[in-house]
Order: sequence, then structure tokens, then C-alpha cells
Amino acid sequence: MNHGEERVDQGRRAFIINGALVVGFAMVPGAGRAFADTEVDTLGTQVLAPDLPGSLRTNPFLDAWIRIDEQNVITVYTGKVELGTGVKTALLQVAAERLEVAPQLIHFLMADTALTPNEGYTAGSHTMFDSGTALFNAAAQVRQLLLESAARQWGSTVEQLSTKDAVIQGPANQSMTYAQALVGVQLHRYASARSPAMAPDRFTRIGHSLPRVDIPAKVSGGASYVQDMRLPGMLHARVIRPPRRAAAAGSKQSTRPPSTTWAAGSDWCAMAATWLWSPRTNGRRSRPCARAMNWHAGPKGMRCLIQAISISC
Amino acid sequence: MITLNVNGTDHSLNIDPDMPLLYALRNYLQLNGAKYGCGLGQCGACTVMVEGKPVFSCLLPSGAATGRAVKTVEGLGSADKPGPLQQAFIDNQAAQCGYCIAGMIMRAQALIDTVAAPTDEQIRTHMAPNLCRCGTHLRIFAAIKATLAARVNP
Repeated sequence: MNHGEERVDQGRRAFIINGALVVGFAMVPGAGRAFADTEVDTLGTQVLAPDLPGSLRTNPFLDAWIRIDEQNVITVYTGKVELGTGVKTALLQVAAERLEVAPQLIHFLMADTALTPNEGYTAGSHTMFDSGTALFNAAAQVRQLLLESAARQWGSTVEQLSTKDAVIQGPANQSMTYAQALVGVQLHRYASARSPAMAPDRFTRIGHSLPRVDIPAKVSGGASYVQDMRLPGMLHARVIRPPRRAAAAGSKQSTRPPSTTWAAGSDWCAMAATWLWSPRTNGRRSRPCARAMNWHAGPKGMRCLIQAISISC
Repeated sequence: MITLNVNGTDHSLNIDPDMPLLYALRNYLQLNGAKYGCGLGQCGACTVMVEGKPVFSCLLPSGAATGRAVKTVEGLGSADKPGPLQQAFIDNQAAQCGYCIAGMIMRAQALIDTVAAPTDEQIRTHMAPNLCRCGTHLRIFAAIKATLAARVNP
């Protein structure tokens, strides 16, 4: 056998003769910034402020992350979800650290698409890096704005003030809550690129153990998972995919079960029912929808994939 | 129409007796504790107690549970007032994603209720049918041991 033709000359000379090296660079400094709002980061969210840290790049407004109501209740928002990695607790620790309040005083709201910042997927070990960094900075900046507001009202300097449990204390024993200090402060503003510094040896929450806040519900049947959502009029659908790779649907309309909630594409079909289990949709008992698809056989060798999903109607 | 006794309360349900108990618990009684995992009795996420014995509720037809006491994790306590085993799981932080935990607790509770002082080997063998993909086994084991120890030395 002749292996001679398969041999590749990896020598430097051969590479220079046959290869090409492409080096790219920007002719205009800051060109990237000019196109910033067209940039989409790896998690599918739009970059609005490329100079800001963490997810502040994609969600730059301070009030996207932290709000304080008249009763001095602090609500902290994150667009990431708790998937069992403990990030709900960890993000809470970060926010509590930089707001310098007890975690119990924070109402922590996680991944409500109507209310929280859009941080794209919760994946790739990005949560602490992106959301944690955003909260680390946003919380410190909000606290600083509140201190500056209090200092203005008392005619003192920020350095003379201290905070404890969401209350600011002044040099002459005055005090005001974060909510009171918020009067006249606009939190609907872009975050700054720089935040007040905090030496790590001053940390009392970050790097210190806090029991996971999600575990009590998980050991007692609380609503913790997407499967535990029950929306009005919700149906459960069972998706049926072809029995073989490359199988295609045949004359599905002719044998479609009458009066069923039914949907189909070229290579899938689904039936919906009030509950996930019903004789109508239970995959092992009957598959009227699959039969209705009248699959044209593809190549052998692929098992039928049945997946259950929930849809809201 | 069948009657299920769940956590001490009778419920009359207009369901197919063939419906697996899991679906009756989750869909009709809106109990989140028992989880759908594999649907084949291979993972244990759906474990509940029937007459004190751990069973896979995804396999047991609801009709077979009529007239027998069904207990779910909700019957052991709540997030505000957890039972001793639930408290031990909290104290030992014995959950990562937590999807298997309600089933783990119910299987462990069945052992705790029936064996006075199980050996480590007995605990391991008893818990073997329930799977945890996160790898929380040592914490689960510690929580069970803590509950047993607290019973001996309250």
C-alpha cells in the first residue's frame, strides 16, 4: 500500500510557500463602539453600553437591577435563572454585599420576562460573571447615589455617613432610610463605568457561606420547577417525531383524528390535552397523531423520539 | 370515580383508574412534590409512600392506590415548618438541582419509619433505586444519618 500521497509536509518553509496568514485590526480606534448597538453578545442579547461591566453592557439602566419602594423594600432583579447551581443565593449575596444590607431585607426577583433584565441564556458559567458583575457594580452605585443624596440634605460629606440595614446614619446622629434618600434621585440612568471600591477583606457576604434560599421549597413540594407552573387554560402537548431518520409525513390530513387539538409540521406532530397523561396522548397506549402522520419510512436505525412539552393556549 | 387518601385527606377524583398515581397527584391534587423523571420506574423522582412503603408513583395505577394511605413530601412538613427529615436535608444542604430530593426524602422516610437503627449498608441498599444526577449522595446520606441520630439522642 502506498501512503506516500497522504503525507503532509508540516515544515515552516512549506507553510510559508503554501499558507496564508491573515491579521485583522481596526483602522479607526473606537470603531467598535460606534457599532456597539448592533453588536449581539454570545448569549443573544444586544450590547448597548460596551464600556460597562458584566450584564450592564446589555442592560445599562440602574433601575433595571435595583428598585426601592416607599416602604424601603429593596427589590433586586436578575435575568438569570436558578437551575440548581445555587446562583439565586450567590447573586443575592453579591447584591446584599454592595448595598450593605442583610440578604433578608432584599426581595430578589429572578427571570420574570415582564420585569427583569434580559440577560439571554443561563448557560456557560456566565451567571456570576455577567449578572454577578452587574449587580456588584449596580448595587454599589445605587448605594453611593443614596449616600450622596443624604449628604446633600444634611450638608455633610459622603465619608461622614454610614449605613446599616438600609438606613443611612449621619454625623449628628441623623438617620434616613434608603427610600427617604431616594427622593430626588433618578435611578433610571445608565450605570457608570466605575463603581465605589470595596476591599475584599471588608466583604461580609461574598465568600461567606449563606444557606441556599431555594432548598426549603425543594424539600417540601414548593413550586420550584417549570413543571410546577399551572397557567390558566394550559394544555400539555406531546410531540412525536418520525420513527426513523429522514422519514417524512405522508397524507396526514386524511386520517387526522377529528376534533383534537393537533398540530403538525413536515417531520413532527403534536397532540395537546388538559393533562400530560390521558389515554388520548399517552405515547405508550395510543399514538393516533403519529398514525395520522402516515410516515414514509426513512433509513432504518433511529428510534422514535417522543418528547413532552408544555404549551399555553 | 375513585377515592384517594393523600396525606390523611380523602379526595374523590373522576379519573381513569389506569392513570398513574403521579398524574393524579400532580395534575388533579396539584401537589408538586412527586416529580416526573423517567416515567419508567427507573429514577425514583416520583417516589411516594403507599401504606408506609416507597413506591414509584409513575408506575402505580391510581386505582391500585384506592383505600390505601398515600403520603407525599407535602405530608411531612412545609417550607416554614419542615419535618425532621426535611430539616436535616436543609441543614445538610442536601440538594443541588433538587429534582430528585422529594423522592429521596420519601424513600428515606420509609426506612426511618420501619427500621429502628439501620446500618450504613442498609441505608445505601435501601436508597439505591433513587438516582441523583447532580451527585448529592453524600449529603443525602448525611441528612438521613442526622435524622436517625437525632431520634436516638433528641
